[in-house]
Amino acid sequence: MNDCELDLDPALDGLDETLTDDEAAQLLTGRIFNIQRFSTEDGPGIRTTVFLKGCPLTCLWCSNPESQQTRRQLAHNDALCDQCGHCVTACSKQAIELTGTGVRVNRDLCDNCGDCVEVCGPRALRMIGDDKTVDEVIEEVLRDRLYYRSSQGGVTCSGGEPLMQAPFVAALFERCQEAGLHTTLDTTGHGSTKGLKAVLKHTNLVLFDLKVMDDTLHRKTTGITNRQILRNARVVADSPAQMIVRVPLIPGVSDTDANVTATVQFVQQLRPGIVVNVLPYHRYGMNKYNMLDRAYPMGEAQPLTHERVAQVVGMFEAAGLDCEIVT
Amino acid sequence: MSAVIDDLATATPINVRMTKIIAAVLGKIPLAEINKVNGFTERIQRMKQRYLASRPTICGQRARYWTESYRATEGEHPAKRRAKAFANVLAKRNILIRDDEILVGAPTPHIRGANPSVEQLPIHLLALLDKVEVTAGSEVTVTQFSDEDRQYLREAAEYWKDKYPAKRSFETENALDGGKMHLMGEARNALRPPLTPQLFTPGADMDKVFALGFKGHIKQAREHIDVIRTRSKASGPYLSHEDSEKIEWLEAVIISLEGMIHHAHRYATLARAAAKMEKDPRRQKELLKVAEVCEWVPENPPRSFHEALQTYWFVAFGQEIEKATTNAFVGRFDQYLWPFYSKDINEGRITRQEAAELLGCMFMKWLEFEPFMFLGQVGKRDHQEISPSNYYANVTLGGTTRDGKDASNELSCLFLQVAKQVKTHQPHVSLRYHRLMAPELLEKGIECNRDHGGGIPAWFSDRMGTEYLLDRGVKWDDARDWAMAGCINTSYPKSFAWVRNAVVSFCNHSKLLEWALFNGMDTWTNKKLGIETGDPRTFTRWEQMLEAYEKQRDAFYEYTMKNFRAYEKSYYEDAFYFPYISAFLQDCIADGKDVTRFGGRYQQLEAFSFVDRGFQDASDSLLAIKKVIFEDKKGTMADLLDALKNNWEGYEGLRQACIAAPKYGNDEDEPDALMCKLYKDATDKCQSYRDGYGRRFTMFRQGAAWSSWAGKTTGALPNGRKSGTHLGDASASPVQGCDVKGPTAAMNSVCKLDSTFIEGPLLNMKFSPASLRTKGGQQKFASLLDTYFEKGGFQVQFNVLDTETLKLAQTQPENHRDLVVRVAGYSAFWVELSPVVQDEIISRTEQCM
Repeated sequence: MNDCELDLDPALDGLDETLTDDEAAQLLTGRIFNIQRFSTEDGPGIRTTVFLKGCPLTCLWCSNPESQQTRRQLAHNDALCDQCGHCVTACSKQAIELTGTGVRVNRDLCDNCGDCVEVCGPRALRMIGDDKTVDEVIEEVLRDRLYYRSSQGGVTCSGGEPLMQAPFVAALFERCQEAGLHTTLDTTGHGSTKGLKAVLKHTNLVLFDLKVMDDTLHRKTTGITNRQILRNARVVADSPAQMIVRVPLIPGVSDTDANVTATVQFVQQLRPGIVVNVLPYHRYGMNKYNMLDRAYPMGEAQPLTHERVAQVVGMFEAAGLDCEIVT
Repeated sequence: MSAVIDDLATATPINVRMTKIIAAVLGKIPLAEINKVNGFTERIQRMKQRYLASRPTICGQRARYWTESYRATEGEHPAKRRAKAFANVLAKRNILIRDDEILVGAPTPHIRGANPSVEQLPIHLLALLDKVEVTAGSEVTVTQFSDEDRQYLREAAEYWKDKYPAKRSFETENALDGGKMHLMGEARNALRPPLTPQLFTPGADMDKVFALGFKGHIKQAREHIDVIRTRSKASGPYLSHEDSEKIEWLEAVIISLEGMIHHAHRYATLARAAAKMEKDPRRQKELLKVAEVCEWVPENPPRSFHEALQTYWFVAFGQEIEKATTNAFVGRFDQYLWPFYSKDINEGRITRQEAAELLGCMFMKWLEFEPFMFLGQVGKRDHQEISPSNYYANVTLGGTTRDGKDASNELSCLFLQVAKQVKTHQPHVSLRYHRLMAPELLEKGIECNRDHGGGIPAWFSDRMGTEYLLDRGVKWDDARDWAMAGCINTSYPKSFAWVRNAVVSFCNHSKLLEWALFNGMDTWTNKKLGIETGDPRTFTRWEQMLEAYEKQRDAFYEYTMKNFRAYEKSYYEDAFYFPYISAFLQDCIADGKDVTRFGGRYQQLEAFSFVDRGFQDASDSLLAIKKVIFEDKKGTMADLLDALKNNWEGYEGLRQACIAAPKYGNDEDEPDALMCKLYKDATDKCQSYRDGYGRRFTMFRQGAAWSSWAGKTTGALPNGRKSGTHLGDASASPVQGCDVKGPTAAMNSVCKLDSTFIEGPLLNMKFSPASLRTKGGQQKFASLLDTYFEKGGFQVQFNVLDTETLKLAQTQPENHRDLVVRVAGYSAFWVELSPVVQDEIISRTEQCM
């Protein structure tokens, strides 16, 4: 894996350097935007998924836009808003205005202080992002251990990009495995290899995203190169962890024959027996953009037809890969 | 012998059928065969259509012939007068056989007819009749009925108005408390029950009914009479009071049973006459079959699955005619019918498809149970919110056998297959879950949850049900025979009838907290209904607030106990006899005693109930006070009381702080521990009392939409709840919208409660159908259930509906007439729920799978 260091992308400069032992110890709080119990689609069985905040990618189709920024953020759910206006009064920056059906936050003015959240009766406003220690997360995770046992489930770290907080995830997974829990890393693959390796030591299963194989298109749609991702995919494939490759099927981006063919070729040379999950594009995240006062980057893009999804699955299967649709 | 074999080999059509039979045997469930079956045949579709097109109505025939008989039997033994009245109704009321019917008989001649219990509640009925005349029947759906029926009811009610059995108890209680109980009833904390046994959920020993037929029961009664006469002759010329009472009662049993046999024969005659007129040869054949069946059963032991079903139905609608209240305790339907089903299948007399259609017909019969109870029992506004045309017929499936083995059989699966296809709101189906349950039944249960959408079946811990009965002194093998009565009463179906009926106290713990907050004042009636526990504005510690609530609670229990003891004796002494219902209850004929006179096995199950609920809001409120007022000091107690008085108007900040305080249902230690304390302390208090017969009281904490009914009279609460809105649903479910951490967290919270002594701790959950579409999703659901029950959960029901569907159904009721929805232990057609209950269902947190 020497090429790893040789070809290191400038964008990644500094990632490995953050991992001195002292800093690693300090990083043992994770910035988390949700701990979702009874998760059923993020690995086998009944799971608790820890969603970590912060992601180096800015995929156009992201359904967790609140996960992208590392800092805490204000979000508003207009469906709950009763137009009482208390938030408008509470805001010292004059960043909030009522829209008749909800609120609009001027993000240039808003400093995410959270004063408005304090006065919101119907809980339409909330702050996204909490700092928790490994102990706090473990405490929550262990509460459902009997459900994991009966369903062969466990714990998943997702995001955001968990590798941005690799020392935290590694520490959390270590504790989970000590408690006999199955661990799953759900990753974009973009992160320092050193961090990834530290996490892999305590990981049973990796759900590894391969979004777009063509680097130019990858940069265009996710904001960064895929070179480190592809490198890390090989690291995971060479590790003892089980690996499932996840391909989001984005109309006009990753669902093209060219991309699927390239993905097949890449996966085939990783290691034998890799399962591929295809995740057809959905718009469930659309309202979250509104909550963050952002325009929905995918515009009017429509979900794929069942036929097209089936065709893609067929292409993977024709290449001898096990392929499942995950929704 | 060889000739017979040759015959089988050559007689092609029958032979083909014979060789294709997949045997119905215990331990093997041919799920693929069951899945092929369609229980919603064209016949059943037509019948359901007719049901949906008909309106609830009140029938006056029972009242008329019942009272007619009473006028002619003055001076006779009361048991015999009941039996004769019963037989008179059966001999004279109109009967009919509808198109498509294969199973016949109904509580009234209407598809949706209710029988008011005129002799139990004449005063209520008269008031209702007056009211209906004023409002022209528009206020309550159930009150659209003919002038003729109204006349029958009025005449009957006039006869009964000073003879009804609760009269003495009411008078005693009134004299004692000067109407305070009535005021408490207005505040919906304490319900004034009818104060007489109404036998809501009569069970029946169906194994015995099937083994002996009615004639076998009559024979036993005669033999018992002979034994008594022979014995008493030996001791002298006169019968003792006890013996004469027994003989009168046994004779009443005989009159009742003969009345039903005669009634069955009326159906047989009608079917023969109809067959004669029938032009369609296929229907003619069916009608002749009906005649043949009704000539044979219920008099004789049934010989086929069809006859067994018809026998069950004669027992069941006969019980309804005798008692005329809601509820049917169907018991372990898949167990007692199994011998008939498997024999018919194995002998090639019936196909699974034919059996499914018969079950479909059975479902249509259950739909004909139309309730009237709550009109009488609650006796005032909003009863329709509580019970929109749900009669509470409850079928129990699965579980363990009397010797502790898995009881799942293919009839259990077939029943669920038909249930999910016909999609009716009743009967309720209660499925007893245990780890050795056949995987096929587990799969079918989950599938039925998904496809029915109305929370059918509800899941129960097999172990907890058995332990509950063991705790009540039921023998091991009988305890394993437990079933769900009413909406959610754990009981023994072969001898339980719900003699207790009335409740010691009908307690809303949120209301008790309200009284504590206002030093005994009730905000709904503006009267001092509680005791003085001090002005909370003077409290310096949170513990004083808790103590004030506890004092209110104890005083309330003491108060209702005092009242109960005053009327307890007359409750039993003046009760009506129920010879028909008692005839099928274990040991009643052998004891020579009516179930209302302490006949039958396991009288301890019949002990009165404490019905106490509203713990969730009380607990969350107390914790909010602790956090917001005493710890964070975000306001004073004076602020809080002002906020509550003003329904939080102008106190949004304080309300928000209260809402943000930790809540029960999220698997958090502090709120869950407080909830457990409130729950257990109330249990311990109630369990410390004994009734006048030395029995422990039963604890009954079911739901039945109580939360919106009682919520209406409960003022704003410190958990942020506004005045008049619904309270926490059922008795164990977290307050709506407060369980934000998903189903495992909610289940963990519920499992912290000690529900061993409790009947009816409910957990309602909602899932989206998408979550159960795949096998993987179903397996996770199964794991969820399994863990919940292993952790000590008792009951859970899943409403598999999406919020959008429900919202649409609210705005377009006409397009959703067949939408079934489950509300705390029972289900109903969506369009018949009041908007309040609809809102409540929608606001329950949807758990995404």
